[in-house]
Amino acid sequence: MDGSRFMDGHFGEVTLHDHLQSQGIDHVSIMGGMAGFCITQNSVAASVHGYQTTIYPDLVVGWTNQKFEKAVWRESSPRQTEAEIKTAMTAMWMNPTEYGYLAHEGPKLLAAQRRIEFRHSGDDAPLSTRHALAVPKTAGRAAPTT
Amino acid sequence: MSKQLNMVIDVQVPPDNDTRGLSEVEHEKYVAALNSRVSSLRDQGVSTLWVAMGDSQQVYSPPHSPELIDRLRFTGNDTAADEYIFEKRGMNGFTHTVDAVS
Repeated sequence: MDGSRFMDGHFGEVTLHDHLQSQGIDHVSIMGGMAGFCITQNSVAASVHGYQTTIYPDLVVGWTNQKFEKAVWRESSPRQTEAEIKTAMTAMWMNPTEYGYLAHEGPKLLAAQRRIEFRHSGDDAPLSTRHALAVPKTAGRAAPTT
Repeated sequence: MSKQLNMVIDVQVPPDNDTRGLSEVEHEKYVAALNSRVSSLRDQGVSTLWVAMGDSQQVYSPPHSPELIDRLRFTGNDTAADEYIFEKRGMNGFTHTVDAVS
């Protein structure tokens, strides 16, 4: 990377959406941190803008609790990170104005959330499928779903 | 045909006095896993955009500055990234304008 290409303060009114559009991107995969904050808000926004959106929770850092006392990378239990993200997504569609959306846009955010895929980086399989394979159904009782 | 982009959001080195972050060992292992994934995607023709959002920049680094890139590079965090983007006002790059791209 050439540091001289850095353009500080001269990028104008371009959003991340504009930048992705200029490159013809229509599918974004997302990883990083933090689960309930930047990951959640950027993922929902990407889906709202029409991008096919995939999150890899096994490569996302979250918080151990709601008090944000300690960051955690749940490499071997990504379903917990998925749950942390989905909890934050629920807060978004229930209180859209707190996240920069209009009050009536809750259903739009919910629909966008439902289009987002959660996959595992190891084999690119949906986490829900991996979960179903890992936990055999109990006879006479439906397997738990989340 | 779909064109995919990999976005790595806000992976930075916590300041020395912040005990809330991943430990050094955890962080090193995490970044290695990230870079492995990013390299695998590159082999598939998928580029990676490293996104630094405002709130964390204000905590961890001089906001939207070349020094942030140097710091990330120095720590080995960015070995597989193809491009960087900076946004200093919030947590959502889709609703705020971008400050810099490199």
